[in-house]
Amino acid sequence: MNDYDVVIIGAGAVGCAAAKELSGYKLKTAVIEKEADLAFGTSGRNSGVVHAGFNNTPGTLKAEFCVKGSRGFEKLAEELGVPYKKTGKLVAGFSDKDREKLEELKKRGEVNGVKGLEIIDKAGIKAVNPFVEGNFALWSPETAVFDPFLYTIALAETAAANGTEFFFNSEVCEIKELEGGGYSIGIRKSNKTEKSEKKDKSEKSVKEEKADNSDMSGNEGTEIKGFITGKVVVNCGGLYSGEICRMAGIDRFDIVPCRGEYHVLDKLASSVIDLPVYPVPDEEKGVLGVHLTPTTSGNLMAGPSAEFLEEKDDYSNDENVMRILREGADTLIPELKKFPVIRSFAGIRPKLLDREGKVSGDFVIEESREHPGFIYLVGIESPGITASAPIAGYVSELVINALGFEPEKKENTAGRGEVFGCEKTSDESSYPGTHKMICRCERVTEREILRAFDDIVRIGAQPTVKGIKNRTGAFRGSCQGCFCTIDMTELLRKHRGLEISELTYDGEGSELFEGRLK
Amino acid sequence: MERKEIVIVGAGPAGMAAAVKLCDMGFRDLVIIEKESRPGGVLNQCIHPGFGLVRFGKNLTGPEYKALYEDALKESGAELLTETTVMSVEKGSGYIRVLAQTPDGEAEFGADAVILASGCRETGRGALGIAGSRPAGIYTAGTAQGMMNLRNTKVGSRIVIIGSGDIGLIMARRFTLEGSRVVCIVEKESVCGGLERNLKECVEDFGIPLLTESVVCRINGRKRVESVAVRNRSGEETEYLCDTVILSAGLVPEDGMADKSIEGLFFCGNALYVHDLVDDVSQCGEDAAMDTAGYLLAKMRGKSFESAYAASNVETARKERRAFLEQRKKSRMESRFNNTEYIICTMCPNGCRINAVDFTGGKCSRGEAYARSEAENPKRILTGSVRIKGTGDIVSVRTDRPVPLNLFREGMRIIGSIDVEAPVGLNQVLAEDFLEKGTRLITTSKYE
Repeated sequence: MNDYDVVIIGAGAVGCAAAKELSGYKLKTAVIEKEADLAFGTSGRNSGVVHAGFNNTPGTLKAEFCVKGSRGFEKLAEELGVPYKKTGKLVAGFSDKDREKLEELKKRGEVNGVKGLEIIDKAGIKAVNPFVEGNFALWSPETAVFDPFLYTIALAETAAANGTEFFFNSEVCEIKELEGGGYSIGIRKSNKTEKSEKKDKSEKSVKEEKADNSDMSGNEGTEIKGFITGKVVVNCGGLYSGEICRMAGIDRFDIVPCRGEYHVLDKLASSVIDLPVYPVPDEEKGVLGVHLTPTTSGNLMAGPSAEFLEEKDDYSNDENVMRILREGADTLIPELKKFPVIRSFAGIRPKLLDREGKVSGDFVIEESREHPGFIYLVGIESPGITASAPIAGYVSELVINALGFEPEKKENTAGRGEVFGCEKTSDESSYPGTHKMICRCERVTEREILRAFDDIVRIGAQPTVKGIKNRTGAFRGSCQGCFCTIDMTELLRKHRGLEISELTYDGEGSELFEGRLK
Repeated sequence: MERKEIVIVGAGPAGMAAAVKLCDMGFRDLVIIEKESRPGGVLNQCIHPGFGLVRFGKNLTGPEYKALYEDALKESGAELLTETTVMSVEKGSGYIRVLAQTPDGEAEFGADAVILASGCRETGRGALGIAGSRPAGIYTAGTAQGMMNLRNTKVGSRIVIIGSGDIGLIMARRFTLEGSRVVCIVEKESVCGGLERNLKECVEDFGIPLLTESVVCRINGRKRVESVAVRNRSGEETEYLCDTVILSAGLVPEDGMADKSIEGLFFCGNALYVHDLVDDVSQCGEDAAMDTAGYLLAKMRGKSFESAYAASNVETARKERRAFLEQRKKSRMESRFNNTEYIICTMCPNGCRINAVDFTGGKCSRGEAYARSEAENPKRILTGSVRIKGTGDIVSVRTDRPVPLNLFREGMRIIGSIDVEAPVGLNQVLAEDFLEKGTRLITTSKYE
């Protein structure tokens, strides 16, 4: 039961895009994810920009997939029902050096195939947005913003609607090559998803094995809780893709975490800045610099910073960086001073180091020569999500090649909405929640929250506040949950039997409350 | 669209007072829109005493204070629409358009005048700019208060409170009474932000450390809060272990849904500016109601009407309020350096400083009596909540008179052991001779 044709490690945007692509074939596919839900890592912690593709060196995978991804994004977003807005983008410059750089970017973009790039003067800038300062700017009409949470979720839900199985709270801790091909993957499972699986009533097929089981006798004392096998394994482990390669015996990828912090400004700020505004990028660091990006829900983000870290899970905000970001935003657009920050957060770029210890410029996507059937994607950072669909297409080719046979294409594939979320296909009577507003800031109703909860359970994830936030926008507004926490806990208790002590922010250990007072 | 003469946004203390006043004056064509399932607003979760001293000369809890207005509201005949959230107040053609969300979907109202009594919201972590991680266990004081007092929830065990606003102080006491440990309250200013009364009865009574001129500069913990780093005036950092951080560092009027340029829109209560006392909020609601009536009458006669509560004057009112608060802070900072021992009288919100030796200094005679009793055997009203048998719900309670502070721990133990059968009436007696002969433990809200 737990034998798959393809096992994808990592339920970020790239892993989910690959899953969606492969779900069009008659293949048994599983996605395993160490976090409690989709898009809890880098895919849910970025600027949410569909890059046009002028920042990447011609001839690289980054350049090729970014431009291809950008061109197809609008259609894909529409198909998936994901918020997308073609805003265009300004890269503003002041000095002669900036101008040279912008000319270079424009040339580079044109070589890459980016359409519509223009260097515009001060008056041109003001015509696009009167609040943006700069003597000239690169105008990119193809750049867009989208909702990276819903994008990842929609990809996964489409895959799941077509038979892909997802396993959450399942951390890969061992990869063994099997005799005669394929891999056995050891999984450390936290106990929290079992409950949602039970609720879902669908029999998930990860074998729960006790440490004294004969199969496991060689591994006594380890924490491995289950195995699944895959003829082909696709490592979409993002920040941890280097470690996962190492488990499979490939010891040459060092991913170094590079943290980027953001401020989210009050919604009113997007009345000033309604498109991404960037400074001229700092190529030495390989980052795009502190920029302003509106989200599709109307907030404005300032960031990210860039700081190399020791640890891969340190998402904290640094006091100095927070100050610099605020000052940076206010300097870029003085009009922003009057808008308060509503939340600060951080994402971590998985930077790939080359043999000399320098930051490598490109994605690495290939099947291992020494370990056939093991496909790895490493160094997938910006513009990773923009490029995710073309990456998935390429991965799908690699998978088919590795399988050694041409899998049959499914005649019909289901749309995401046929199984998940969509109002018309849901049985209204199973939604006792009403249209009462729970989140005033982002306008989320009782029923929308219950739907999100049910979608989380349906895909096998653990219901968490963060998961509900990512799906509905509740808690993401200017009150940051200070109004809706009380109503939402009551709603989930009343309609979904979730006890107050079971509610977590983002999985085990992040319990919101201790339990009943009396 | 439903056409009304007056729409009142929010059935908290300001909105209820405004509605009752307008009905008294003969206005009947009005609706009061409330997002919760019952009126009262934040009063429902304020189970502590200290309400009504000015308006009723009684020391009531929040739910009891609300009950007085709820009864008056029922009698007035004003229409109350609950579980309905006002999403926007906009200019219509010849009327004010109020868009709301009901349990059944969207609803639209048209009104000649709108009173915004939507209260305030708490300043969150983002606006405070606190660095560090973002684990579970960070709540605003009001959220924690609601979870504890309305939802029977244990929020945490070791608490650090950021800011010394009134709700934070009140929660410091509540956490302590309910068995959690308040590690410290961290205040960036040199004086406490809350009322003298709360400083005394919520902090000093329980020996909770108040760290002034200090800031929480970092929150630590990956999944749940593990500790905070506090930086004092000289820049030294100290780490305090805790599992919960409570924010009580500011309230801002909740008025984002309304277009302030609308004629016929009036602000009152905490939506106008944040008040210290609910008694003043009720008064403000009545005053705004008077002006709304004046406006409607003037409009009928084709005349204009000036009002301090009109949307166009909101910024002036807020500026004056800020000046008042600045002045108060200054005078507090000055009195900090006055070293005479004093007892703060809590008989009313004036918070007179009574000399601890000769008991002088009160503005009225109650001060002396209070100070004498305070010096010998301090007494307070004890509040809490008891279980309702077989439901997982709780109902708020209090002693019907002050009991010795040193018996509070025993009192909370007894309160924790009580199970009451539903239904429960208001001011139902749950225990006679509670802690002391003649003292009763009574409920402060209903449960049906």
